[in-house]
Amino acid sequence: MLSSTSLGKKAPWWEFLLILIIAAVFGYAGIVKLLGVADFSHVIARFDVLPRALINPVALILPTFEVLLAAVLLVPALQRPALLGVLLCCAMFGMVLTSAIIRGIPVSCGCFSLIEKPSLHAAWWALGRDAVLVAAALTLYLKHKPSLHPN
Amino acid sequence: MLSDFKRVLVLLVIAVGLAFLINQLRSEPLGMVYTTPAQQMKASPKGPGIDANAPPITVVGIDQVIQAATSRTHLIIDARPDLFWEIGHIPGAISLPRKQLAEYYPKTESLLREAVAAGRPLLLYCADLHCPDAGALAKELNQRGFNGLLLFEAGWAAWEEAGQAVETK
Repeated sequence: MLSSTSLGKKAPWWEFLLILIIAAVFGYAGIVKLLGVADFSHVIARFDVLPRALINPVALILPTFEVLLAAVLLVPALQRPALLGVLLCCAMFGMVLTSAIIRGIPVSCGCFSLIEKPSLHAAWWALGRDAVLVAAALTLYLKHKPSLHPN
Repeated sequence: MLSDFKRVLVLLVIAVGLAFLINQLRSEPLGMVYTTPAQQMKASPKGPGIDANAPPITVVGIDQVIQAATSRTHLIIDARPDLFWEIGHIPGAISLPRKQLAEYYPKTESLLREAVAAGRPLLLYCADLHCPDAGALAKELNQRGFNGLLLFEAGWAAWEEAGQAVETK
């Protein structure tokens, strides 16, 4: 089974599936946060990595960016930059989660639920999920050759 | 790759614009400066039927909570989701999850009013310093006519850290 992606005219079905999964994960995570931005601002504050002035702007922009990336992932011509956006987001999440774990701060990542109990265990799980997403997005990004991509 | 970065940047700029537009369309837009749940509670509640001169919600420390839990002079309210109350809560605390308020409030309203009538102040807590549930629940209760609410802002994390007794369902 072949599907159309920015990789070329036809790409294996598993690439299409991976794109759909990443888009679903980012879309869902973004919508959950958008519906509870005030709660999400407290989740961000708990990480203790941002100055107070940036917490609320980030709480507003990050979920919108996630939803936008999810939507753009479904546009074949824009999949490569969208995958790069996903990679950058995941890299940022990974750094922040690692920082919290190293400092022993119990956190919930706020990724899919804003009522998750903060703990180091939850942070480890979130870091694991983040690594899986990075692996999937990086695989796809490296397979999407820029030369096949209209600039 | 450079063109990809440029496109990501364009997406980010679009996201910034959309984010602030969506925020303006909210019934209660998020302010640009972050305030902790405790700071939010210190602001006077607004809205129809709210007495702006009502006593402010008082933030209390763990010593007062230990005393309250020991002497049972207060009605302690756990504002976390009910599952966490079932796993462990401050002895004597009742569960009134902020996120399930519509379901739980009708079942507990008479208990709350009886406690207040008997001179037992309501003392609320949630997970920790950054959890919004206790503060938001206090605001909800204030809007329903409850005053003199006490907020244990350090919450369950501080209670556990202090090695205090834990009650389970």
